[in-house]
Order: sequence, then structure tokens, then C-alpha cells
Amino acid sequence: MKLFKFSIVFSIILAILFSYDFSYAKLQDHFKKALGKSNNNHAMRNIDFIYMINLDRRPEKYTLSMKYLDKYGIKPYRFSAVDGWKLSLEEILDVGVRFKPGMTPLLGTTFVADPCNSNKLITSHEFMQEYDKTYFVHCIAPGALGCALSHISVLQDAYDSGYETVLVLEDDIEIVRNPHLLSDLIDELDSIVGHDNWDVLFTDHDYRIGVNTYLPAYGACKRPDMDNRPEERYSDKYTKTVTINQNFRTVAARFGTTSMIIRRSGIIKLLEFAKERNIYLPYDLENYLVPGIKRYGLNYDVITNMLNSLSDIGAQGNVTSEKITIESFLQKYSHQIYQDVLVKNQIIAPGTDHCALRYDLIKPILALYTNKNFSVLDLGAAQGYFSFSIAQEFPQSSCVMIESNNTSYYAHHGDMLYDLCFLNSHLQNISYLHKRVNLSDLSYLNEHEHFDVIIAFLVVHLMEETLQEQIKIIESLLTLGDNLIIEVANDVGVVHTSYVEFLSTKLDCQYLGEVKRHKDPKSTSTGKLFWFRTKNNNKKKRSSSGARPEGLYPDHGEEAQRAVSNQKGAPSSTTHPAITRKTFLQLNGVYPVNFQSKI
Amino acid sequence: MNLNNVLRQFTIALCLLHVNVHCANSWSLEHLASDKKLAASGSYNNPELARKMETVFQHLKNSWCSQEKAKLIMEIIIFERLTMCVEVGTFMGSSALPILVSLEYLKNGHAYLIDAWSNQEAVKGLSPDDQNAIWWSTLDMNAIKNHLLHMLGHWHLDSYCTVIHETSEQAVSHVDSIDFLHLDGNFSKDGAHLDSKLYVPKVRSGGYILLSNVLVTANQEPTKMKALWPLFETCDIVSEIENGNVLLFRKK
Repeated sequence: MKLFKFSIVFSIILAILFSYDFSYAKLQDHFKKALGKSNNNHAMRNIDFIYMINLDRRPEKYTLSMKYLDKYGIKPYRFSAVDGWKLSLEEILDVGVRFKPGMTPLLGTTFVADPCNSNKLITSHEFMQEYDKTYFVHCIAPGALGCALSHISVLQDAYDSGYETVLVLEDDIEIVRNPHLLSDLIDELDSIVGHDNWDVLFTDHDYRIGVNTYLPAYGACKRPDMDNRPEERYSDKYTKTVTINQNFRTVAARFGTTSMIIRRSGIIKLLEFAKERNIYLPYDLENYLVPGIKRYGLNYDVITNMLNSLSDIGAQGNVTSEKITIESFLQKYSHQIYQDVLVKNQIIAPGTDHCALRYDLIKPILALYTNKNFSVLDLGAAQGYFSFSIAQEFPQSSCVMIESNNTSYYAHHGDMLYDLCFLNSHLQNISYLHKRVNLSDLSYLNEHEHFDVIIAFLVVHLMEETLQEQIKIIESLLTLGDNLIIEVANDVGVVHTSYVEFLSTKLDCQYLGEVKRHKDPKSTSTGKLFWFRTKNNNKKKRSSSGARPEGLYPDHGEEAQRAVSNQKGAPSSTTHPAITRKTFLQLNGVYPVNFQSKI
Repeated sequence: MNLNNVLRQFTIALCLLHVNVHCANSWSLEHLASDKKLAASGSYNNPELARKMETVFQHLKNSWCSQEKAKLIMEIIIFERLTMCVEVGTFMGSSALPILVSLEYLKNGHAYLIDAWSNQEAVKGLSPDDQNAIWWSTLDMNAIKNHLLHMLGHWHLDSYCTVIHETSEQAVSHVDSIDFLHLDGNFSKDGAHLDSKLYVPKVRSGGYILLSNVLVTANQEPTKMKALWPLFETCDIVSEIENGNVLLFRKK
């Protein structure tokens, strides 16, 4: 009997030991305290306490917001925000989601210490497959973690303080209507749905991206620990909003957490979810996932987000591109990024990925155009490494880069490339279309333009979700250029990779080689580069040179050889944009500012 | 090993199999050939069909065959009237059930359920230290086959199928002019490719091929990529379900 009792006690101890994760601190260990709350003036009718989250290094944003609120006699308590960019690796790994058996493996982002500089972090994008490793949503920036930790810390303070209703503001607000209206609206919402029957009230219509223009959310984001089936993610729970009356509507998934009134019931639900599940997504994408949360919003804006506000989520600060310097660029984008950052042919910041290896593979193809005008489309240009390199080394090239913000990689890819265009303004042969292109855009390009060379490195599988659509994109690219150089990965978009490999056996294609993608020595990610020569399929199309690269590889046709010989001695020019002004405008061309159309 | 142990091992296996999830495109009746769409939408008023489907879904809860996949199988077989069905890699029969219930509903057709039910065959081509190989090598294959046979009896589906206890290579001679092929066999690169090479040519023009576990990996490498090539060569993609882990093709 004693032995039996002992074995039970021993089993319980073992179970506790194995179920407890000793290697990580809890999320709440990293909450920031709300200090200096002696002044009790941070309230308004029906709202016990008003918080404003503001980074210590952003006093100007706080000052501006206070100026707006001061007119109405509203004085929020300034909560010193958690600066995500200053979180240590240990802190970051503590607050994220640890991948466990039973979770859905997703493409995620994790952070590792830079082996060359322990104070720096390397962002690693990988499929979740290592148990107990911390992951976040793909390409999350540390700023977003700081934002989420700030919000959750505020909720903890509100809970500890016993508040019934709080208003939580970020520091980039715009006052559209008198904020005291909110007190009356709380009364009305209480009377409509019941005092205890709502958790969050957004003080605006939705997340603004322009005047009377909002950015709607169309479903829930994936989390490895949640049901990620489309029928769940796009279910009514996350997509359906119901208008209640002229003032209110229910809120499903939405962007932005600039201004929210939160009831104690909501504080508890949001806190419990965060403590139980940790941070995976940016805060606005996470808090609608909280089970049973009842969220309401207004049919108009009272307090909403300021348009074109500076954001420290994805990068540290903003500087006008025209005035940008290398120093300000590095300060603005201090986190390590994907490609090596080139300015005037020098690497000013090394990227996480090998770029030179890939450039070496494609250079012989570009070299076939030496002394000829030729056009290059760089689809998914990222930091522009390839276009800037080509434009520098081949002055007679004309490179069109396509990139945008909020692609699968970094939130500010598009802005970063825009800044880099100005830092590389000595190059007269680059242009930049700031757009997330889709099949329809490619169809437009096919109707109006043609390129000598298209490079599409690890981008097609990110443009569309399904293989069917990805195949259509590849088909479109094959007719858009005389030479399509496409890179596919061994660990992401693998079915798409298989399709490209299959296609390479069916079309006029040369396999250029396989390169290790990431500099992280532990990474096994590789990219395979294929060169599809489609000139014979595009007889009716026109390209800048009209030529097909020739001489390097043995299996070119007679017609192509004639085309090349006809081009010898062709006039050279450094100002020969590859696209028309119509295309530049149609596809949101942003650089050069004074774009000159091709003839 | 009893059935409970097998089921428990299933759960463990679900954790062990590293599946790369990348995309989603749900199955719907819209994917049916154009002349079948109208009839299909009308058939849904038939209470017998709705009841049969619901019973199958209930039975398959927590099995390896998701409701989305079972629904796809049943709709494609019933509404396209695919009567000559072949499944490579029947295992416990989770996917065979919706196939056979569909044939029973049609009161027409036959399915050939092929599996070697052999640990040795299941790990063929996998490296011994691979997690899949470790799992497949320890299963009680007799218990699994018996489970299938019991299920066939319980559902009175014996007359709609022939159980072929052979390797896919041996069994290929038994089948021809396939209307619906479910490929869910060997997880190794060579094994999956061989299944595809052997069986895709046996599908008639206009027939359908469902490829399961597309994103399965062994030693961190996807193993079914080469198996896709015969499909890319001769078929069109119709639908992608389970985040791209199950693909439906139509033979050109």
C-alpha cells in the first residue's frame, strides 16, 4: 500500500515536472509596470481610467496627441511603452508561442543571436518543426512585440487597479468628434446589449488608410495552436459584422487598436488569452481570436488612427526619403533584413540571405546583353540587391523593380526599397513600382510591356495561395519576358517548386544551380535557379533589345542567333525606361519621381 | 497490439509527420464538370444522401480522413458517377469508407482496395532513423487489416470492393480504365513516384486522381514531389484541400 501511495505521489511530481516548462519565463514576467499613477485625473464619465501608450523615444507623438485631447479637458495617463526593439533575445523567446506536438506547423519567424555580435538579433524564417522552439507569425518585427506587450501590460494594470471600464489609446490618434460623446455611447450600448454583455468598444468605424477609406479584414490569421481550416478562419465569427443601429455595429476581425474602450470582462478575457497562449501575431490580429469576446464598434469615427502616422512597429522611425542618408536609413531600419543592402555598390548592411551567390549565377545571362539596351523586371525586388547590382554593372540595362509593403516578408519592404532608390539615385536606369502585383496586373503587363529578362526569386509562391494560381502566374511570366530566371525553395512552396522543376524538363530551360539561402550556418534552406528561354514562344512580342542572350549555352536556335547579330552596334543609352508612363502610373510607380516614359 | 493502441499511435503519428502547410482552396460543387453541377445541386435535396454523408462524417471523426476530404470523395464519385475506383494505400480504410458508401448509394461500381499491410513494405525507401519509418515499422498490420475487414462487414460494403493484399506494384495488373484513383501509398520518394507512374496511366481520360499527404516529409524533405510529375504531365488540377496537402486532378 505504501509503495502504491509513493508511486502515485511520484507520478504526480513527475507529471508536474514534465508539464512545466522550466526553460522559459512566463509572459507576465515581462509585463511593464504603470509607474507614477498618483494623479487621479485620468478619467471621464463612464470611464474609470484612460491610458495612452507611448514610447519614451517618441515624445513628439505624445505631445501632439495630448494637444488634441487637451481641447476637451481629457488627460490620459501616459504609459511608458515597451520598446520591442530593445527586447533581449531571452525576453523575445519568453513571450512567443512555443511549438508543441499537436500544433499546426506554419511558416513562422523566430529570432537567434547574431554569432558575430551577441547584441544583435538575426531573424530566421522557417517552417515550424522543432518542438519547444519559440515562433511568431512570419516576418513579425520586434516593434510589434513591444506594442502587444504594452497593451497587455496596460490590461494587467487595469485589472489590478479594479477598473470597470478603461479607454486605451495609442499615441497616433486623431479626434474626429468630441470624445465626451463616448460616455453617452457607453450608456446607450449598455441599454441595448446589456451592461455585462460587451467587452470591447472601438471608438471608430474601422482602421483608416485614407480619407473615408478603411482597410477591412477578411478573416482570421493563422496561429499554430488554433483551428486554421479556411471554414473556421473565414467563418462568420471573424468576418460578419452586424449593424445594430445608427451608432453601433458588431466587430469581427479588424486591423488597428488605436482607441478601444474595454470593460472589465474584456480585460479578463484578453489577459487570460494572452497569458495562456502568449504572443504570436501583432496585437490587433490577435485579440479578435479571444474565445467569447464581444466586440463592438461605431458606424463613424470619434477617436481613430491618424493617417500617415509614424510607426515604430516594423522599423524604428521615419525620415523623408528625399532627405534620407545612409545613417538615417540604418537608424530607421536597424533590424537585420533579407538581402544585403546596397548603396552605391557598397554593402551598408549585410542581410540574412546570400545574394552574391545568386547574382553570380545569373550574371552570365546578363553579360550576354553587354553593349545592348535591355530591360529587366525584378519581381519581388526586396531590398533591390539584384536590380541595383544589374543597373550598376550594366549601364545599358533598365531595371523595373516591383515590391510592396505587407508582403509575406517584412512589413516595410516597400518603404525601405523606396528609400534605397533615393540612396542609389546615381543610378539613372532603375524604376520602382510600389505594388503587390497579382494575376490581373501581370495580365496588364503582358498586354502593354515586354522584358528581356525577368527575375522572380522566391516570390511566385507568395503571390497566390493555390498551386492553380501559381501556375497561372508562371505562365504569365513566361510570355512576359524573353528570359525568365526563377528561383524556387526546398522548404517553402514545395509543390510549386516541384511544378517548376517539372516545367524545366518540358520547356527550353537551363538549370543554373542550387544555392544556400540563409547565412545562418544551421539553416538547410536552399534555392534552385532555373533559366527559362521563351523567346521562340514570344515572336510577336517586343523587348528593348529584341535580342536573346546567346553564346553562353549551346542549345540556342538559329533565329535567335540572327536576332543577336542584327543587334550588334545598336545605339546605346542610359535613359531608356523599360515601361511606359501609363504602366508606371497604372502599377503605382513611385520612383523616379519625375518618371520619363519610354518612346 | 489492439485497436486502441493503433489509434493512439495514429495520434502520435499526426504529431510526428511534419506537414508543411501552405495554402487553401476548399472543395466545392463548382469544381465538378460543368454538366454535372446542376444535377449535383439538385441531388442535395435527397435526404438519403444527406443522411449517408452525415453518418460517414460522424464515423470518420478523429480519423485520418477529414470531413473535407470525405465530402470531396463522396461528391466527386456520386455526382460524376465514377464507378471504377482504386485506392492505393487503404490502411485502416478511412478513405475507403466514403468511396464505398458512394458506390453503395449509386448501387453501381466497384473499388479495388490495395495495400501490402506489411511493415517491411511500409518503410521501404525510408531511412531507418526517419520518424515515419520508426512509426510504420512498429504497427500491427494484421490488426489494421482486420479493422478494415470488420468495417466492411459492419457497413455491408463487402460486395462493392475487392481487397487486394499485395504491393502496389503487384496489384497494378488487376486494374484498368480507372474512374477514380486515390493515391495514398508509400511515403518514400521512390515509392510514391512509382505508385504515381504505375497508376496514373491507368486512369481514363476525364477520370479523377486524388493525391493525399502531398506535403509529407521524411527527414525534413518533402517526398511526394516527384510523384506529382506524372500528374502535371497528364492532368489538370481541380482542387486543393487541407491547406494543399490533398490535391485533386482530372485526367486530360
